[in-house]
Amino acid sequence: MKQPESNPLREELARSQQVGSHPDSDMLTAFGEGSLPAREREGVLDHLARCAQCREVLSIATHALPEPVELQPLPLLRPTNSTLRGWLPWLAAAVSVLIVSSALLLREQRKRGDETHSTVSTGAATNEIAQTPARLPRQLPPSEPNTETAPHKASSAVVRSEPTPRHPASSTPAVASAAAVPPAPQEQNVQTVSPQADLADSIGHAVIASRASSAKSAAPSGSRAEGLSTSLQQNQQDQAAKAKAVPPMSQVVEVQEAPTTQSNAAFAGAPSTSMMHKAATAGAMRPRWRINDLGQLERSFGNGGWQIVPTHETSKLHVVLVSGSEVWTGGENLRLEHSRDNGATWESITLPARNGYDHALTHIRFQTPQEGTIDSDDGISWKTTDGGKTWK
Amino acid sequence: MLSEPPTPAEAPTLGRALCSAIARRYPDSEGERYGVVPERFGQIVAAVVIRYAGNSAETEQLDLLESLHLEELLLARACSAGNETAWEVFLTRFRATLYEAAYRIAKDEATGRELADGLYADLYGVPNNKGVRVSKLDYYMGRGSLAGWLRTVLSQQFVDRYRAQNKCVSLEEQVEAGASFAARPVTDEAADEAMADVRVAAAVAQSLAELSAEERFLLSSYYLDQRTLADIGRQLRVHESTISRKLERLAVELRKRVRKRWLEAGLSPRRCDELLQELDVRDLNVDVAANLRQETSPSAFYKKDGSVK
Repeated sequence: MKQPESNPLREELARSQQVGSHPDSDMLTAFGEGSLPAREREGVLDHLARCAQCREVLSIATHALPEPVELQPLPLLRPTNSTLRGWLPWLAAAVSVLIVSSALLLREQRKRGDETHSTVSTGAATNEIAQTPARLPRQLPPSEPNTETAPHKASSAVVRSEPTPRHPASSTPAVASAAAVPPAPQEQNVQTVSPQADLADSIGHAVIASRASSAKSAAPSGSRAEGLSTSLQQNQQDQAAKAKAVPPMSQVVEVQEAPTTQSNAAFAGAPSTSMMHKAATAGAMRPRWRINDLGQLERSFGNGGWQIVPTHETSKLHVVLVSGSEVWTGGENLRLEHSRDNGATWESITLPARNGYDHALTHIRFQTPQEGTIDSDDGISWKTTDGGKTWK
Repeated sequence: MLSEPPTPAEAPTLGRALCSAIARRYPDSEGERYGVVPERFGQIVAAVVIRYAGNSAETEQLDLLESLHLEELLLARACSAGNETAWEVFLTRFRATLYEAAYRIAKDEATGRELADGLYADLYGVPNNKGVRVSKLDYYMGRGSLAGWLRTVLSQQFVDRYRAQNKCVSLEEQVEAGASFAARPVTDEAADEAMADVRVAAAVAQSLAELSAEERFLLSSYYLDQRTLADIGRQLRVHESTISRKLERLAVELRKRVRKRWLEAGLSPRRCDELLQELDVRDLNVDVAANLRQETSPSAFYKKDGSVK
């Protein structure tokens, strides 16, 4: 369209650009953050409509905001097969019904189990527990008296005899021979398994893995586990052979250090964080990062909680840079840490010191995935051109 | 050199409810950590309330108190007073923010660092004309977040810096940089008549004045500053499509109003239509800078590839 040589509206707009006093930086900030009450907002807007300079400042300040973390939408999987697509709603409904009924059944079973639990003094029916994995016994600290924990430990011995201990922290008292322990009358069970629990306590914080396959060939010796098996043989002849098959502790028990990885420690007590962590690693849920007042690295999965993420770094951190699943953080003593998997594992990087190590890193920037720059507070910079493998 | 920070002219006189509300906020403000006693805390907060809502009702003052970023306000004041713990916290929390914002604003590492270093010195404190060290942090009032305030101050300094430098740029450099110096358009007879007609200008001015502040802001940002819809949307915290719809509706409405006023002023419908041809607001974004003496536009700061001129 032809540009008119004279435009009354444009000229009038320009004429209206006469400003009074500018709003202070606080007001502009609050306006940009949307935290001004309506009356003040209107006043600032009125000024902005007239003042090109303040519009410019507001615009630049808005541009200086860090890029918002965009949640990547999960790909929507649709069946391409038209028949399957037709059945899909019905299938989904059926699965839903199945899940709900299973949950109800499980709840009912648990309720029934609790009733049994309370009627049989403090003991629990071993076979019932074995069939109901949801009734995993609670793990009591070693300081609790054994007399109280005996029934629980009896049951735990049965349940935890599974070859794959899923809860390493709660599987301490498992004894390899327990798989062979037959269901016994409850009172007897309480009495006989108690020593086993004592034995388990004596093992302390260790994970004991069973070797069921080799157990058959091993012969019992004079261990306490053997004594336990023998007493059980007297009660139930059918299962004596299995009890006999209990190998000596020295052969069947493997004592390992309880796995206390840093990532586990980082998420201790956090509900279902392992799932969130997996999701974060897979890129489905992108965590947010920050450095707290104490100079520690923290991560949030958007559920409102911030968890300290331990790195190898013990000195205070100052900066963190996140790009996809890559996390760079650094701070005092020129220490630099790098994680490629959203903070699950970390590698320490030592920067070549040019002015001693008594300085802190202040900026980490990557212009491209390969080219980056790190600055320290004494004005020294390091550059990389290979994605952070080497810094010069 | 910094001038004296803003202080209330009179001792704050606040209602009892407000005073007790201020006192209740002290435990959450980390004042104890930064060595700020409750009395001083009360004075700091009262000064802010008086500054922004001194003449307002107490309910509005209470609302203002609720919206203040008190922890960051106290941090700023404690830094200004030279508290080491406060500086440690400030550096840990905001140093990276400050430099990152400066790099984003300047889009150039050296300029960004210079900008941030300059502000950092101001934050630490510069002697005023009386020789008293004044920290720029004294100007932070806690209305917005401290990080946002730092970004705004950096932006202001960047604009000031650009203007100061721009005054020293030679004409040759401006020509090389692509600046054009449009001659004043030669007005033809019809346009002269239109401009001469006071009724036309008055009607337009009246129509513009009737618009709300937000509508005028939209017009100015879009047609005068040539901001993108996304830019404006970010500033108003709405989606760009909302801005697009509003602008479209505004343009139609404005034309209607102006035409109506012209008719009321006695212009013939034909003359109105002729003038409206010239009044097409969609044309406003063409060569607007040359005609409106607007000092700043995005293109004034950044080249098309995003780098700074």
